[in-house]
Formats: sequence, C-alpha cells, structure tokens
Amino acid sequence: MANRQRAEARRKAAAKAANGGGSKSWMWITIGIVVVLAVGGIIWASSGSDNNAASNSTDPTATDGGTSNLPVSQPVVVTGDALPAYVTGANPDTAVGKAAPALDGFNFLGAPVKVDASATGRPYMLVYLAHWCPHCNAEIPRLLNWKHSGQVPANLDVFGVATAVSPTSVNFPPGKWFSDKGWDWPVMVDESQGDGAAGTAAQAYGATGWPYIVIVGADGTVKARLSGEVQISDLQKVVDQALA
Amino acid sequence: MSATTLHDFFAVLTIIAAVGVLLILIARVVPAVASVRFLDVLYKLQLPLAALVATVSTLGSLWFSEHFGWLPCRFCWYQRVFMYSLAVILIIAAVRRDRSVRWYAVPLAGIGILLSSWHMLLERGVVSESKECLASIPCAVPNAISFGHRDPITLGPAGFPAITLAVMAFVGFAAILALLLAPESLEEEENGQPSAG
Repeated sequence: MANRQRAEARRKAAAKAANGGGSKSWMWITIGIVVVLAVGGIIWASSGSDNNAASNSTDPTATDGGTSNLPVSQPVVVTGDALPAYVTGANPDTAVGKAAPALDGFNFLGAPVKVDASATGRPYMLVYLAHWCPHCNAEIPRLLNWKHSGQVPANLDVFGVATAVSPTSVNFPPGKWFSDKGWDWPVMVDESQGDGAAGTAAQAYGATGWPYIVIVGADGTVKARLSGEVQISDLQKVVDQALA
Repeated sequence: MSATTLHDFFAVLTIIAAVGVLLILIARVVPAVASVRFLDVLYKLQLPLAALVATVSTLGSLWFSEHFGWLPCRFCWYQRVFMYSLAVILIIAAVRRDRSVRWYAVPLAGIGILLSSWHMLLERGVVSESKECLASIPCAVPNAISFGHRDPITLGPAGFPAITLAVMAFVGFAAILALLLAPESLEEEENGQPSAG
C-alpha cells in the first residue's frame, strides 16, 4: 500500500520535474547555503573582533592576579653535557650515573633559578610539565599531596620546569596554569624551542614525554628518570632508593 | 574570525549534519515514513552532498592547522588521511555522476568513522593511549570545545553535547556514509534497473 502511494507520488514528481522540478532542488540548496551563511554570520558578529588565535584555549579573567601576563619563555643556560634521550622501558637507563648538566634560568617573576647539585651539595628532583598535557594535569595534584603529606625527603630540592609551551593549546599561558594548579615548589621557565616542542632545559635532560621526572643525587649524577604519570607509592620507592 | 568562532560555526554545521544523518537513517530503517520527495531529492543530491561534506571537512581542518596553527594529533592525522582522500574521489564522482564510487568511498568513510570514534573515547578519557604525552606529537586534547566544557583533569570534553573536532569528523564520516548508503530511487527500484553502486 505504502509502496503504491509512493510510486504514484513518484510519477507526479516526475511530471513536475519535467516542468522545472529540478530548479526546486537548486532552490533548496540555495536556501540551505543561505541559512548556513546566516548562522555563521550571526556567530561571527556575536564573537566581536577577537583575532587572537590563542584565545581558543584560554579563559582569561580580570581577576587572575596578573598570571596571564607572565613570561612563557625565559633564557636557560646549560652547563655540561646533555643527557641521552630517555627511552621508555630501557633498563638500565643509560643516563643513570652520568653527570647531570647544571641549569641557570628564571622563574615566572624573573627571579634567578639555579639547578646545580655541585653548588648546593643537595639532591634534587626536576619535574618537567607541559600545560597542555592531561597527564601533567593529573600528576600535579598527586605531587602536591605528596608534598603536603610530609613524605618528601627533607633534603630533596624539587623544581618544576614549565616546558613545551604551546600558545595554541589548552591552559596557555603556563604561568596561570601553574598558579591555578596550586604548584608551590620553585619553577624554572624553560626556553622555548617552538610551539609545543621540548625546551632547552628539557632537551638537556633528554626529555621525550611529559610529565618527566629526573632525580639527581648530591654528587651531581643522575639517579633515576621517569616519564609519564607515576603513582606516589612508586615515586616514593624511586626517590628513597636514589637517595639511599 | 577567531578560532573559537570558526569552531562554533563548524559545530553548528555538525549539528545540522547530525540531524540529516538521523533523517536518512530513519528513511532507511522505516521506509514507510519517508516521503517520496525526500528520497528523490536525497538520491539526486547524494554525490554532491557527500562531496560537499568531505570538502568542507577537509578545508576546515586545513584552516585550523595552517591558519590558526593547531597541531594535529596522531589520530587527527589518521582521520585526515581518509577524509582528504574522500574529498578528492567524491568531487570527481559528483562531477562524473559516478555512483559506483560507493565501492571506494564507503570503506574509506567506514574506517574514518572508526578512527574518530576511538578519538572521541580518547578525548573523554574513556581509553588512554599511554600515561605520557610524547614531546614529538601532541596528545589527543581538543584545542577547543563548543557547546560544552572541559574536564578539569583529562582536559577533554565533559557533558553533552560537547563538540570537538573529533566529533565533527565523526559526524562528517557518518554523513558521507548515510548519503552514500541512502535508499535508492523508487523509479530505479520499480524498473528493476541495477543500482550503480
């Protein structure tokens, strides 16, 4: 029954088509294009004159305490040989036992940050973080909980390194991201080597992914390197072993 | 025009395309409720519309990466392989009115929709590629989200409907599949003519 009705309608439609039905198709196409363009125009008009490509990923507010204007790259001076690139799953890590290069840089406020075990005689842990990386985003609360739990060895200096900055990605700029996340260890701002690329300090320590953690002993040699999210129980074991 | 504005514009197109896909699916699954006129128009515009979807998707993705500097992630590249190929072959097929392009285009769109499905799961944190973001290739974190908000930890979309480029790609592939697999013309069915697909 339905097929018969449809066939009948089809015949009528064919007759109409012979008398210019094809032009109706074009009419509908034209209407469709006009509607789409109108919607686009409304959205465009309502967005104002924002031409900042990076605005797609930021939520600038007027009450950010000025963190949106912090520098996203600072000069970093590396003294010593760069470590070999980290290879996931490599056992042993070829960097372990090698002398870690010293880093001289600045924090978001422009204050000098020096990372050099030979100068302090203390072990340190570098935590490389990329603002656009969800695994870094998940790792920071764990690290902060670790700190606030009092389990971090008292003689271990911890530094965050803001690296791999990408103005077109989420959570830009990194200064605001670090502030929003509540990071309260010292931070070195890495020297940018391009959109999203590992910065100077990250390259010097062989980083290939984020988050990236390097533990250096008081003697200035690399004790351990970790790439990717790590549970605090595992990190605690690595740290305790490295500092033993 | 800012990147977010263009993203919102494409998100609106995505919703329109999704509604179209639903209509075609209903016409396919319940032929009795589909009007003859709708089926006829659909059949006539099958190839031009599919070519239009693939072309707009291709140009949009190129505009985001080349003009706004958004770095494509690994799965973005995989989907590009299939969408860009579809744009070329569907334009040629539309010009030549070659319905047999379905033999080539449907598998491409089928693989594309699987990839974008996986990409959406990655974005929403349902599955995870690894526990780290490689320094060389961006993670599957959407640059922008329309009609939704960002999960504070995974940085992916949260809530419904949150439209990202992966969602747009999914709907684009779905629209191409729906168009190419749309019910055939009643006239050809009645006359017993072989479908060109």
